[in-house]
Amino acid sequence: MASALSLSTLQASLRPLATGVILLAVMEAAKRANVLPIFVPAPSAVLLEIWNSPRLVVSNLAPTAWKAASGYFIAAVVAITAASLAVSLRALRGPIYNIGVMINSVPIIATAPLLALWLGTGPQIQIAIAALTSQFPMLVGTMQGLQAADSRQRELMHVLSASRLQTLRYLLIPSALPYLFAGFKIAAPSAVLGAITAEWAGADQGVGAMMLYALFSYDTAKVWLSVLLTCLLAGAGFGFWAAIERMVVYWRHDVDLVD
Amino acid sequence: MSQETRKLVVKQLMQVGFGLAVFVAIWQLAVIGLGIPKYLVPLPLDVAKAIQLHWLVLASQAGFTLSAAGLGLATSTVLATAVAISFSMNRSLAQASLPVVLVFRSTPVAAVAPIMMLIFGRGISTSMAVVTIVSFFPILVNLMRGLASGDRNTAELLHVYGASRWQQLRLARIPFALPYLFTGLRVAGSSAILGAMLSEWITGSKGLGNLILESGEMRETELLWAAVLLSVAIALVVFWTTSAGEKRMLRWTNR
Amino acid sequence: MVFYGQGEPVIALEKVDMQVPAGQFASIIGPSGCGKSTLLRLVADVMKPHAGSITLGGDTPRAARNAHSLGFVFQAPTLLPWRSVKQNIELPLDVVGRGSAKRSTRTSAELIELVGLSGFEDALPHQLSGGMQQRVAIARALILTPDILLLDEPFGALDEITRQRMNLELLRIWSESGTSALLVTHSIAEAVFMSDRVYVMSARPGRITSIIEVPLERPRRIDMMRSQQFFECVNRIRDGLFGHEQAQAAAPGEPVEAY
Repeated sequence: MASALSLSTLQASLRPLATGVILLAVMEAAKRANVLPIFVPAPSAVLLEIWNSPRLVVSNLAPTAWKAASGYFIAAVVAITAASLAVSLRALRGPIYNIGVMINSVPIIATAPLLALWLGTGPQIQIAIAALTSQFPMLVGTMQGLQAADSRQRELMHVLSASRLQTLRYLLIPSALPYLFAGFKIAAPSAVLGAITAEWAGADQGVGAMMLYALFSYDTAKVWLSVLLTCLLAGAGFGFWAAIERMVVYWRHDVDLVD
Repeated sequence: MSQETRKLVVKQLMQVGFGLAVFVAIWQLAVIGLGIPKYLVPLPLDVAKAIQLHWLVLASQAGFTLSAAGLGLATSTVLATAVAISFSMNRSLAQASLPVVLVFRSTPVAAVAPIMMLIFGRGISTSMAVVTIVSFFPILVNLMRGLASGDRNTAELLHVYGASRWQQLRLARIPFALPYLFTGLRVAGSSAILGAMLSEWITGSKGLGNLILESGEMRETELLWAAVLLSVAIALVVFWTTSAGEKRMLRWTNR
Repeated sequence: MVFYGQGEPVIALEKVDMQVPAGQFASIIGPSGCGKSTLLRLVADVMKPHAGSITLGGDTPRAARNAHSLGFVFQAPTLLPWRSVKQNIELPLDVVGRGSAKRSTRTSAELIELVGLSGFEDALPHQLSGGMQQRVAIARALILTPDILLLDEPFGALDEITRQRMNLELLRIWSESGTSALLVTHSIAEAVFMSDRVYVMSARPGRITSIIEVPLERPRRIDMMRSQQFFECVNRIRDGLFGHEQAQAAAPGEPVEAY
């Protein structure tokens, strides 16, 4: 069954992949024919950038990646703890959710400069902002997940004389998984984008910094490269969790988080 | 304004005023009570003084941001309306473009802004372009849903009277779609303001976002806080007005 | 048994006196809201009575539940969606602990065959029909070889045809397992067909209005539903259900409608 699953996934992704390759080839031809405007580089030029200085790519990709990942991890720990508290103590449920909503609504515009004042310049700003931008889906997902077991299933556990620990293990955690993954999946690109945007406010290394530098030196290929890296990094975060979700949550494929 | 609308507005203003008062009070108490140094968090009064001192700068920068956001929104609304109408007239066009729409639906500002800067350079036009793109898709998606939602019976009625397709559009489908347009505006509104400010970060062009960055670098804490508060206030006002517009539109539907 | 909600306390069950001999199949039938599900849950120790006592072979319901001598089949199959058929059936084993089997148990393989689901051991619940899921639930209720099988309108969600088939299946399974069974239903035909004894209840407050013995021989066959005895039992139950209402509603002297 696992092999059949990956075969159909392969087939499904083949068509858009083919479309993408064709699109790139057309762009290449158009550029050679001088049809495209100046701000669109030839795909080959972008690839050449990577080829010529792979170290540059890596030395910018890596800092952004680990900053985003650190922020994401911190947010995950806080979100899971807060959500567990919210679900166990009814009085905390509203306040914790509302705090999550408020943090989510404060724009990066406001938080980045203030954080720069408080924490000093350095990677800590990007980590903090990555954490702030990614917390909400994880909070909502965990809260929904922990309440996902319906009353009939809980009754079943009672009838079977299951202990609290057993109910947690056999019912609550598995029923929470689809929602947990949905939240964590969405939060990953948010962390990446938060980190990159925060780098615009001042960072010397990272994809966002590379973007700024390329813009100031009018290096078209490098700008597109940085945009490409942004999308790749965000997509990788999402894809990573989606792949794990596929394996772990094998019984459902349709979870929608309710805001 | 009718009597009841006036009462409602007054009530809401009072609620807002009360919330503000509470917020300022907590702020003052927190700074003094927790002994937070002034360069980290200034006192409300100092910020108020800064607002008074620099009101011209604040207002003019806010003006730049607002005009960029407003023009961008207007442009994207016009474009989205045109595209949505042509989609609704021509089914195959809609279906062919659907995958493209889906792919670009959640374009993050971080990806769009640098490309726009390549095209438009450093001026306010970049911010405008970014806002246009970022708000185009939410408005389009909502409009498409709105145009598709037109009442079946109304359409049939008009058809029986021999109305042309354009007349049908004008008399029935567009009015039905208006509430959805406002929903789209609500969604796009706040991200428009933020998109404009973030573009200013990357381009260095004039506006509230740039002011925030500069005052941060210059360590002018009170001005920084004033600018930040102003931006948050503007975002909230935009949200409230578009929400109110949406609710007004929704009153005569049963959604 | 009293429920406290908003407003007046609702007396759900009053003066219920039932004695079910071991090894027998008994049904409880009554209109909606008469408390038959409540009664079943009292027996299963899901709720506690306010007054009166319940003994199951000398044990209290709680003791029976903890000793796992009860099997409960719910109205909805309530299978855990992430567990296969085999794993769902073995859930009670996991709760009890396989090493220290408190009771002699059947293997899940035997039960899968008993309920007629051979070949579906590794299927997930969402791949099964409603009837098949309910059979898994029955197998699950039987895996710890309970002394008493409690069933709460288990076939209520199925169509008539599947229902009759499931009734036959259940009788076969029950006779091979040797447990006592208590079935709650709102189908008169089902009650008569399955049981040795039928308890008829009325609503508000819930109490037992009549007890009807079903003298049909075992094993039961579908053609017995045409017999005179079957017809008489059904009529007596119907009188017990509707006659009671009619007697209450009709003023003295007025004609009573016959159904």
